[in-house]
Amino acid sequence: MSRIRSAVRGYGLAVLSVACALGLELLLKGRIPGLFWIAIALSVWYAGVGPGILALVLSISALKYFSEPGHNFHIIRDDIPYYVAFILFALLIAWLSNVRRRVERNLLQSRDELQREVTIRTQQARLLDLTRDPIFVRDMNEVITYWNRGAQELYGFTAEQTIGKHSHELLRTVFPVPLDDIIAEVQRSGRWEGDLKNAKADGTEVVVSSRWCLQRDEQGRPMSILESNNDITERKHREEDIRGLNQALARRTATQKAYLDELFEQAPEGVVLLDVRDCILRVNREFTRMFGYTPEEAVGYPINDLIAPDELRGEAHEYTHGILHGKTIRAETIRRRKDGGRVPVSLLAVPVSVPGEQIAEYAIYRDLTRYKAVEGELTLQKAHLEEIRGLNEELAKRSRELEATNRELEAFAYSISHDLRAPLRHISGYTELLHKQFSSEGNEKSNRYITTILESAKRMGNLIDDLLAFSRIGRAETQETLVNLEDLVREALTEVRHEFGERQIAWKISGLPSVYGDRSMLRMVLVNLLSNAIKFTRTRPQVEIEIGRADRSKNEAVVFVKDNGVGFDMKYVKRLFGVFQRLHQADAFEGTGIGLATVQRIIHRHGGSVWAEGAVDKGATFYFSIPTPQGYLWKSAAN
Amino acid sequence: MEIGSKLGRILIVEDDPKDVELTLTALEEFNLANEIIVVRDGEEALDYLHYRGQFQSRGTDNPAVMLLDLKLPKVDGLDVLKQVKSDEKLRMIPVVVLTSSNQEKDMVASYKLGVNAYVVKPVDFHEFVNAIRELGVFWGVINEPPPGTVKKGT
Repeated sequence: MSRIRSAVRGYGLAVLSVACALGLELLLKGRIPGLFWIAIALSVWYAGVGPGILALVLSISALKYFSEPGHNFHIIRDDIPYYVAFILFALLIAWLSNVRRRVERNLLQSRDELQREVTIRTQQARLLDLTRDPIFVRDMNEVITYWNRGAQELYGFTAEQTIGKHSHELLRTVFPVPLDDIIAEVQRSGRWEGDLKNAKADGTEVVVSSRWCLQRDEQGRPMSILESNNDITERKHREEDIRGLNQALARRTATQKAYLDELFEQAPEGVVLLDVRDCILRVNREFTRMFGYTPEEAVGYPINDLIAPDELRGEAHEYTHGILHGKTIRAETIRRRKDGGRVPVSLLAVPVSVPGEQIAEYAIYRDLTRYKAVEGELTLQKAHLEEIRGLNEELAKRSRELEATNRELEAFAYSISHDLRAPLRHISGYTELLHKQFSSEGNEKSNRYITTILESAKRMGNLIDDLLAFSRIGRAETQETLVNLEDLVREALTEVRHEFGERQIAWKISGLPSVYGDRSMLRMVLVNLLSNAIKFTRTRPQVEIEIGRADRSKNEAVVFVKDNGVGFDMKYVKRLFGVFQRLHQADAFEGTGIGLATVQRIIHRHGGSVWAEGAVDKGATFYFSIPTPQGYLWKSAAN
Repeated sequence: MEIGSKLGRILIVEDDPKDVELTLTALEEFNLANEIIVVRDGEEALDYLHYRGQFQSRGTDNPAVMLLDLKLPKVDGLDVLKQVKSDEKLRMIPVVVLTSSNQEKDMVASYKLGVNAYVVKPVDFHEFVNAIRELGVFWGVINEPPPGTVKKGT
C-alpha cells in the first residue's frame, strides 16, 4: 500500500512538476529557459527513476507540441541531440539522488551505533560509581578524564573539580620511584602496582595502594590509564607502629642480652654452659680464672676431659648423666686446673632447655680454696680457743686461790695490827711506869736498860706499822688520776720536814712531769725516797738533794732523787729493794728496811721500774719510771 | 669500879686489864676528876647503857663519852657502836673508838656507823698518855655533853 502510495506520489510529482513548467512556459512565452529541466530534476531527485522518465517524456512531448505551430508530434532529426541531453541530464540527477540516499542511510546507521555506545558507557560509569574503591582515568598527558564516587569520597574532589585537571599536580602525588620508570613499566607490561602518597582536598595526606592499567585504542596505541586506589593510610600507620614496636623490642632484647652476657661474664662464680654431649658452649671469666682455660681453649671440649681429675672421672660422669636425666646436682668436690693443680669447688649444676637451643646443662663452680683455708684457720683457732679457755679456767682457779690467800693475809695483817701492838704497848707502858720509880733512885744502869727496852718496843711498833703498810700496797684499790709530781714532792717535803729539822739542805727540784697514778701511793714513794736521802746525808756538812727528770723514752717518765750522802757499794745494789734488807748497821742509820721495798712495790704496781746508782761515800741516785698513758700498762698484782 | 668525879662520866669499854690500868693511870696522872666506869666487854657495855643485869639500878644519866675498844669478847666493838648509833635514846652519846688497830677497814666502818672520833693507841707510852689525857680533857671537860648527861658535883 505504502509502495503504491509512494509510487502515486512520485508519478504525481512528475506530472505536476512538468505541468507547472509548461504553464510557466506558456505564461511567460519562453522567457525563462530550462523550466522543464527543473521539472525533470525535481522528479528524478525526489521521486526516483520511473517518475523521472515520465517527466522526461512529458517534457519532450510538451515542448514538441507547443514549440512548433501545427502541433505535430513528428520527431525530427534536429531534435535528437536535444532529447539525448534531456535523458543524460535525467540520468545524472538520478545518480546524484542515489548517492545522496546512500550517504543519508550511512549517517543514520552511524548515529545509531554511537547512541548505543554512549548508553553502554554510561551504564559502565554507573557501575564504577557503585564501587567504593576510588577509580579514575587519565589520558597519556596525565589529564583526568574520569573520576568516580569512590575517588570523590576518598579525596574530597568532585568529578567536575577533577576532570580536565592534571592528575599528579592536583593530588600532589609522591611516587616511590621516578614517574618515568612507572610509565615505562606501564607501557611495557600494561600495569603497575605500588604505594603512593596523595593529598586530599583538605590537604591531609593519604597513603594508597595504587594499581594502574593501560588502555589502548584499536591501533594498539596507549590511550589512557585507569588507576584504582585503596586507602592504606591506617594500615601504614599500624605498620609503622608495629615497626617501631619491633625496633623497641629488638633494642630491649639486645639490652637484656647485653645485661645477661655481662651477668654471665662478671658472675663471681665460674659458670659454664654445656650441650647435650657435655661439650662446653660457653665459659665466663671466673671459670677461666679458676681453671686456667680461656674460652677459646674450652669451647667445644667435653667438660669432664678438661677439669675432672682422673680419680674423680666416674663421679663427674655420674653428675653429667644425672643432669641429662633432669637432676639438679649440688656437690662439694675437687676439680683440676689446666696446670694440673687441684681446686676445691662447690658445684651447682642444673639441666636447662631453651627452645631451639641444644643446651643441656648450666653449671656453676665456686672456688673454695680460700674458704678451705679459712676453715683450716678456724679449726686451728678453735683449738687455740679451747687452749685459752683451759688456761682461763686455770687462771680463774689460781685467781680464786690467790683471793683466798689475800683474804688470809688480810686477816693476818688485821690480827697483827690488833694483837701484836697491844703487848708492845704494854711493855712500853709498864716499862715507863717502872722507869718513873727507878729514875728517882738514880741507878744509871737500870735507866739504860729501861731506855733500851723502850726503844726496842718502839722500833718493833714501827716495824709492824711499816709491814702493815707494805702489805696493804698489794691489796689496796688504786685510784688512777693525773698527778703533778712537782706538787707531790712539795707535799712530801712538808711531811719529812721534822726529819731534818734545822739542818741546812740545798734542795734542787725542777722539771718534774705529771703522770697517771695513785696519788697517795706515789706520795709514799716520794716520802720514802726523800726520807732516805735526808737520813743518809746526815753526816755531811753540805747537803745537796736533787729531784729531777731523766726520761729515756717517750713511753715513760723517769724521776730521780739524788743525794750526796754516804752512798752504797754497787755490788749490793740488788739487796737495796728487798724487805728488811739493810746495807748499814742498825745503830748507824735507823730504819726498818721496808721503805725501798715499798717504793719498788708501788712502782711495779704502776707498771714502772726502780733502780739505783751509787758508790760508797759518793752519794746515791734512786730512779723510778712511770709509763706515760700510751705505753701504760696497769699491773693488777704486785711482784 | 667507879671513881668519884665532879665532871661528866667516862665509860671505858676495854677487855684488856693492862690497857685499863694504863688508861686509868694516864687519866690519873692529869688528875682528871671525872667519874670513870669500866666495863669489860660489849655485852656489859650494852647492859650498862640499857640498865640491864648488874646495872639495873644505876643512875639515870648517860656517860659524857664512851671510849670503845673494837676487839671485844662477846659483842664486838663495831656492833656496840652500831646499836648505840641506831638507838633513838643513845645515839647522842659521843663515842670515841680507842683501839690498837690502824686498819683503814675499821676506820671506815666506824665512821660510817657515826663514830665521833677514832684514836689509834700509840705504842709509845708518852704518846699514849698524851692521847688519853687529851681525850679525857676534851670529851670530859671541854665538850658540852648532850642533854640528859648529868654532871655530878657541878
